Amino acid sequence: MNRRVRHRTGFAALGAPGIAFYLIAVLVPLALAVSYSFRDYNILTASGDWIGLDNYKELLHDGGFWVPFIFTLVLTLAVTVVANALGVALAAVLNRPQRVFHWLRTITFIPVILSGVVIAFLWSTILTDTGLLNTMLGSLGLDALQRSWLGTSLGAQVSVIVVSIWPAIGFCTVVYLAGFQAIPVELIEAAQIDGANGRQIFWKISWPLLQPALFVNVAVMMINGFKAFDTSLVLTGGGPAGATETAAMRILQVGITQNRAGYASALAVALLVAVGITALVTGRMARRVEI
Amino acid sequence: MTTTTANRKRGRRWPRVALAALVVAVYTFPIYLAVINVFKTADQISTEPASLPAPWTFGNVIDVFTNADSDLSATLLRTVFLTVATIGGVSVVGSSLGYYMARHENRASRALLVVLLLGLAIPFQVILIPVTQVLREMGIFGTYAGLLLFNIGYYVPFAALLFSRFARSIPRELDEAAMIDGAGPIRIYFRVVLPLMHPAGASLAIFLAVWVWNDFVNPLILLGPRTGTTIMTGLYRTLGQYQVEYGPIFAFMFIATLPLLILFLLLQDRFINGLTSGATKG
Repeated sequence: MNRRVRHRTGFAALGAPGIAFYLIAVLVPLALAVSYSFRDYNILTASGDWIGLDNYKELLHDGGFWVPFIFTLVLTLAVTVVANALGVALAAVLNRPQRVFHWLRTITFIPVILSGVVIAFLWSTILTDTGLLNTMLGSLGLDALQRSWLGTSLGAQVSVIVVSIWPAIGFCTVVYLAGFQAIPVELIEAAQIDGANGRQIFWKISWPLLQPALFVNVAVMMINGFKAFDTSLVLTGGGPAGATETAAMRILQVGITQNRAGYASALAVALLVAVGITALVTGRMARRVEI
Repeated sequence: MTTTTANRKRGRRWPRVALAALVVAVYTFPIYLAVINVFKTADQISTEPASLPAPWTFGNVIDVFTNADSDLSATLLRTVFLTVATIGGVSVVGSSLGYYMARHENRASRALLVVLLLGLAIPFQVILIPVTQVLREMGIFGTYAGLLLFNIGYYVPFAALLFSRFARSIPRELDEAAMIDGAGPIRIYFRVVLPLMHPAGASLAIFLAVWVWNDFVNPLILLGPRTGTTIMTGLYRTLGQYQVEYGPIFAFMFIATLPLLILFLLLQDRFINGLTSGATKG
């Protein structure tokens, strides 16, 4: 009996430090964010009156909330769809056993380990008015196609999306490659003997067996999409006129620069609700395809 | 029939390699830019952004290291320290929590699992502002201790889930044998379980190295302007400082990325296995 109690406390001592860190770094701040969202909270004075649902009411009519949130949703969806499509295509091209394909795979993965700041700056040297893209178009005599890529709302939005897709393709490719390699060779060979062509083999055999890879990629792209921050900040600064601002940028802008922690927290809670809904929908879809 | 197929296949291999190489070359073109522009003069960067350096110069690299207000060497060291400390802290508390969860399959532990999963999906911007408040209350806002505390807590869920999945593959008989010999749970964990968990530890270390090294918002806000900064936050500030002078920025970027790149090239199979372990399980 005594030994059993000791055993149990010993076990609790193993779990406790991790839970304590998690509590301080995530759960308590999360609870505080919810509480700030019902208050007119000011971080500098660490105080604020309870104002009920006022922050949430303001949010409903605030273009400064909807524009970045909708852009974040579009960005997340676009990155998820395009990066998965191009990732699976690239993986199909690279799915060969020879050594040279191994090297190509290694190179393909490099964008994944680059920091968002590095990626955004790198692409800014391509996309600015005097950047590589316009220079190249000029030297090819295609001056008519030259644009101020980051200067118009639509151009900047597409640019941010393209730049966000770039490292995501490498990630999806590597995950799909692992998926391809888990497919038994016999299945493919049997289909070939039965006279199936490449397209049939892909859609009838490979793709259904790649569903776990698809699920991992969709989940990761969704989670990253809602965190989108670095690319817009460095590439466009959120501009022009806030067109490429993301939800995450907006939250920190309102909370820190404008010093309105209460309202920023209401935005944060709204973002969290969006994340939750997306997670539920994705989980439902995953269950339907029976992973 | 079979021989002709084989011949046709062999004949097809070279076009296939060429296609794959071309696609990968197009895809990784920005990386080529990132490397070659480090070694060009400022003039050449602006006039011929995509050409090879002529002449090759190390001027940009020397410049970012010797610039009067350059803090680059110290920043690199600081970031190495922070990354290693985070990996160490998260490994210890994450693996013990993971082991605890793996050996307690009851309702409380399932609830804990859900709460930890929530932590994986929370964008850090949702909690960052209250985190500054919590750290202020504790008197460690704007210090490395504060950033380290946040990092450990923020990455614990990922580590705990990774380790608990791994700990389930460690036979319970090992625990029980040690228990019969009179060892308590803490001792069993340190002497029996922890030494067996290093494959999971290696995956964790790789993920955290990339995340912590590349992180720039958390250091930007939690360390504040007065405390020495980390490498990516430093890069971000450099972007504003040099404005249009691309040479030093390319050099800074190259140096800031090189440690991770070397780590990746050395451990690439581990990187890729760790990353894709969830993708192949049905």
